[in-house]
Amino acid sequence: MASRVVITGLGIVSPIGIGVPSFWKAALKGQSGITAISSFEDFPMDLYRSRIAGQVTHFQLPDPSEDKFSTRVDRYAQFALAATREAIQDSGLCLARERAERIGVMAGVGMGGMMMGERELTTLYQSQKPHRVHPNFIPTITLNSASGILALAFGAKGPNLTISTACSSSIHSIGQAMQAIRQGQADVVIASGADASITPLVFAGFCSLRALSTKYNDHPDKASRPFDRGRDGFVMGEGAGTLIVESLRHATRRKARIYAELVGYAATSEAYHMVIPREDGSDIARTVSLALKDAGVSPSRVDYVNAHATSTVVGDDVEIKGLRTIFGKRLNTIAVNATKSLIGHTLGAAGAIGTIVSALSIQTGILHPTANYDDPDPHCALPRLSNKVQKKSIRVALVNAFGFGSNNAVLVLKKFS
Amino acid sequence: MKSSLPKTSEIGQQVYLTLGKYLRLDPTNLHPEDSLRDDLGLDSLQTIELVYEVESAFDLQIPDEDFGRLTTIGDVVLYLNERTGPADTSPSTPQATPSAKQTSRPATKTKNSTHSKKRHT
Repeated sequence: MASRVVITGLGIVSPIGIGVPSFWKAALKGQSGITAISSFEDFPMDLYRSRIAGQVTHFQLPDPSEDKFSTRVDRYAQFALAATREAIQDSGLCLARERAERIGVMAGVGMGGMMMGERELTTLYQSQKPHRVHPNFIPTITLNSASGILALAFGAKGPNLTISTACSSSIHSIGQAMQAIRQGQADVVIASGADASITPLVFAGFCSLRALSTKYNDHPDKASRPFDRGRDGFVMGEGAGTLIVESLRHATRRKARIYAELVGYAATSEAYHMVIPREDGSDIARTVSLALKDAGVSPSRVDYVNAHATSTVVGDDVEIKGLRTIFGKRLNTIAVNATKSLIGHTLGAAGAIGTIVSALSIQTGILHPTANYDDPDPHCALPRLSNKVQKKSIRVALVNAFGFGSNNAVLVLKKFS
Repeated sequence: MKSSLPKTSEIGQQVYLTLGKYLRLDPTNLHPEDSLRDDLGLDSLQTIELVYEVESAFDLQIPDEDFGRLTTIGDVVLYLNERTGPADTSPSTPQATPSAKQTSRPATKTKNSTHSKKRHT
């Protein structure tokens, strides 16, 4: 029989707080982390259509005596290191007592080391001196630089993978962590998601794709408004989230605190379009259905959905269509919220942060507000979607994430008993 | 190439050349009433790409709010006439032959709308 899998530690770096306590406090207030981008160093912002983002401020590198790795990696991997350090501490794991071969790392990354990537590209083209490209360029920009450095920093010698499925990356990293434990490949997996690519080129790319909100440049805190009639695109964010995912046996043996049980996971492709979701939401519905089947849970038992909800006009609508297909009228009784309303879209970190939020909501029975859900879009309006904090006892939660490349991923969490 | 284009304003001619290049179609086979979605088969991303080509050709930026106006080739010509100068505000009806129009359709049509915000990221 496959091992039961539980979540025993959480860590986060986000635009509204570094560390779970400050993040959660801000989230419950409905605080927005979206602010104006002052500049990309000397690069003018006024030519960008969108000029706002969910930026992590006040992030400080740890003292080198504590962490000799952070200065060797790009910002996104620095975030992953910080979130993971917190998650391990939170879990109470004493790594020195663990068998390193039984600890894995699964990292979800959308863009990777684009900060150094852009900097070195600029250096090369401006200087025309190939020998001025930094020796650490390649190890820094490879997409597995986060999963690699996490293994080095925490001595994790078990399965080590990077999963890159754009905005669904870290739901997959958590799902694959669960699978690795179910299959007996590891006792503990550090399941992380991280991205930090608010850079001149990447930001320009999302602007050119016309995916970003442009109407609220003068009111950044109003720009990310999932399910609201006034939404006009997503707001780019940055951050990281890490969950310590562990076999129940291992967690019980060391008397660990358990936030929630991970019971279901599904990964599908729409095989439809690189950036457009299938309009009837049928593939989202199929993914939810498969995840519930994997969990052995009936749709009638779901209490809460942490929605993908990026604040794009069509994406939010399609997600609700998919959920209606599965839950029908019962969707009116299910609590739904959108974490991106607070922090923007943190890309590769989004699924991990959504899962952290879900674990905290299961534990506390409190749901953060969906900020700016002021004028409900009739297509997306739900009775249990609110711009106010909600209280609800949650037994079963879904976490959704959908990514460019036609990727869908859903996790099912359950209150541990 | 230019001499074979329909009679239209200079801006209109540039639009037809830009669209023809992007679509890999003979510009004389394009018509102002052609819908970007229904006749040319463009999905939302392809429409954004096409507008990007037009922005490059005319050295301007087209804001998201104006996207809804650009549903046919004639709309694009009208819009650019408004944005880039006075005078010609007609939709620049081309003089292409009926047979040319009948043979100009790309093979694929999609049901995707041309709304600009369709991505699900």
